[in-house]
Amino acid sequence: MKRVFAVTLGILTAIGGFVDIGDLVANSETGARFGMRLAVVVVIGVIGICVYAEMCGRVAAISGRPVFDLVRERLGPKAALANLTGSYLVTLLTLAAEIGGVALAIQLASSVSYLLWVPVAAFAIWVALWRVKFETLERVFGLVGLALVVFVIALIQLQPDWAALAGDATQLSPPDGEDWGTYGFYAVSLFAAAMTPYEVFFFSSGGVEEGWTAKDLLTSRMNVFVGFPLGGVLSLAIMGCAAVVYQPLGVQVDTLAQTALPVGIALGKIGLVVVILGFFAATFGAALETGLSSGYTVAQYFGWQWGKRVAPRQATRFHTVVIISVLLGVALLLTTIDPIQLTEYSLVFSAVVLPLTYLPILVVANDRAYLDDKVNGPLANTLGIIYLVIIVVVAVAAIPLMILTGVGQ
Amino acid sequence: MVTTVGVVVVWAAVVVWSVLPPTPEAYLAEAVSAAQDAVSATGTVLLVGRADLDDQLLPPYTDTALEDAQQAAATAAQDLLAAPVPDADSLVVRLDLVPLLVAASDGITAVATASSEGDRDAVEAALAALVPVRGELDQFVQDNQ
Repeated sequence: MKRVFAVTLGILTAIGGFVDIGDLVANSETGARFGMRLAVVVVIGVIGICVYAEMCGRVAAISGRPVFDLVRERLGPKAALANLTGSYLVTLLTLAAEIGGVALAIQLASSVSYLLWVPVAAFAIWVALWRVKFETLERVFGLVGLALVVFVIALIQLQPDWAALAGDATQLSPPDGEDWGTYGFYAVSLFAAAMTPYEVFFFSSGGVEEGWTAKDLLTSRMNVFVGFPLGGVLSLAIMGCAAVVYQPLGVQVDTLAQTALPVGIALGKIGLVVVILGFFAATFGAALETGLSSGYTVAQYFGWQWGKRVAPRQATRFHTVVIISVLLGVALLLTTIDPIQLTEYSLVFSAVVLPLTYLPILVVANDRAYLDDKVNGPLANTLGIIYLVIIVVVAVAAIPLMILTGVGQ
Repeated sequence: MVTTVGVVVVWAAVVVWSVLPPTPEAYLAEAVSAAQDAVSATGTVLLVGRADLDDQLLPPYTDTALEDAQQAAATAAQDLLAAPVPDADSLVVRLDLVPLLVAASDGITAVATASSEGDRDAVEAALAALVPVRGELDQFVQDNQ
């Protein structure tokens, strides 16, 4: 019974923790502009993150070490440094975007400018990272993030033409008034939102923080294969709400307030309270994950003591990287850059560094020295290679599409 | 060495491309983009305003959503006003569109002001006045897309 409870809790946490500012922004923007025509990209992205997160979970559970702890050992310092540089910079951008998301969520509840909330949010994030236990951080914000299920309820309440939505989802081309360039740009953004690099750093290192062993493979796989797809359903519901409310009016989405509006229209004040709570939990939880991930990547590369399973005093360099990363995120936001635009850029640059993140995972997950007989099977390798090809195509296309479309304008 | 030369060539190309004077086509694209931003801002305000009249939204949320829309509409107008006009046809586009963008910005401000004062009649009147402006902007986008 205790085991079932633990697995269920893990799944619920994975669902609630799946959506972050990138998913909120990318799904809402694409729903408003393309209806459900890019829903297939969310599905492809969710399958991709499942394939690679399963590998990361397996590596952590069997070897007792996170993947990126093994990358330098397996691929050498030069390759690992390229991995570290790209991944850290993108995680830093994502961290800044998440802090901005927290501040925007508080602005929706207070009408006080998000810029005033940025330092407050960052301080709260740092205190949580410093003081609160890992399991508590993960569980609380993952479970409160389940509030975003309100998008599914709102979509049902909006009573859309389901057949039309489903028909739209099978159209793999841009609608009238949109071109292939913007369609491609948003496809790249959605794919990057589903496969954001920090997700695998966090999943892999989190498994070690929780002390996973071979016995926890089931928990890891249930989190990945049940929790992540259900989290993907939330992403599709966000896209569906925007498609139903905004697309017929030709309204494009550029703000978090617009993302929330369909819920307010469908469910009134209570729905609005729940969705704002969901925004807060999703972005705060993701800020914690990206903050920790920034520390994980650097500390694991240099071989420092890391993580929250040891007292901060024993992992001072890890915590120093975390606090510097939070401060850099705050500094970036206080330039008054729009957090939503920052999120769009972070998704593009995430797409660019995806191969640096995912290729080493595939290599390590095939190494018998770490995994013995638990190395990738034929299915995992086939899917892994197919996704690696997709990832390379996405990475190559990201910057040209960003320039050609003026960041999707 | 080859990589360095390649990076310098790409960088130079980007710099040259970014400082070239706008073509009439680029100006029209910028005008359509500004009009589309105003269509989005006014459409959002109509949705927010009606939901607010139906008592479905929270005051802080309504204030934020309207403020965002005000800012978006004002930015759209400012961007077009600041853009250099390359030829006479583009000037015609500018003269057609700028009054609509200003009207959209004014209309959104009227809704926001009425909403913050809790004057439901004024909100309804401001929303009604915004509908034709949005229609004309939408028509501009459709005609020039």
